[in-house]
Amino acid sequence: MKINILFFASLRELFNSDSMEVTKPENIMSVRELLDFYADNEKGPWLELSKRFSTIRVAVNHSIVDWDTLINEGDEIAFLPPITGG
Amino acid sequence: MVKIQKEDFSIEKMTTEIKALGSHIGAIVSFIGYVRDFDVSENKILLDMHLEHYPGMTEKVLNDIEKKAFSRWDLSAVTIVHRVGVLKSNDPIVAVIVASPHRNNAFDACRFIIDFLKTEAPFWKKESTDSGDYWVEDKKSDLKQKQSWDNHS
Repeated sequence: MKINILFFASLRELFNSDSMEVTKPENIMSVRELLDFYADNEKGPWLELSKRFSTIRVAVNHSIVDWDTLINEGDEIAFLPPITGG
Repeated sequence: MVKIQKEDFSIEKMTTEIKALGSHIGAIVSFIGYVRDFDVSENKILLDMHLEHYPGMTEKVLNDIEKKAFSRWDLSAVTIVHRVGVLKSNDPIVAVIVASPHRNNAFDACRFIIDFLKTEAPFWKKESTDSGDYWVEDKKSDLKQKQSWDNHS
């Protein structure tokens, strides 16, 4: 199952990339599980992202969602640092 | 109407366009947000500000906020315009223009929209200063301001 992950602002700088297409690991169901999986396995920026968990919001297909939200084929998952518009 | 753009905007032009929608409009309230330089006490100078957003999601969120305002108050029209890209001190960043038959609805809806925009619309500001560049932190006061609407009737 392919999914697209987006990073904005400080997170884009952290990952040195604005997006990545990945194949969802089979046993991973929710966005929270996805983040934990990469933090455990990939470390690096993923570990740093998971440390910032309390300040980060996640959007799936342009809507902010709960971390328990299940991932579906083709989802666009965006990690959003604190919003500062206006 | 929602617009995300790099260019400057004319509040006069947008107000005239909204008023042209009809003689039923008795009140127009507008809010303009500007790039602010630091207080003297902060001991640094703003060189410029870079504003980025999440194309697609930003428009969706702002349209949703606009819809909420329409369902809450008797409004005739709403325009939200937000700039992105590189801005300098004193540049206008955002405008919210609300037209209604009566002023109270226009005042309340204008404030509601900017309060929600501040905490829900995916924009990010990076400040370049003479003592370094950094991403602006969110303010607890903005969140409180937004949450205060949940307690309103």
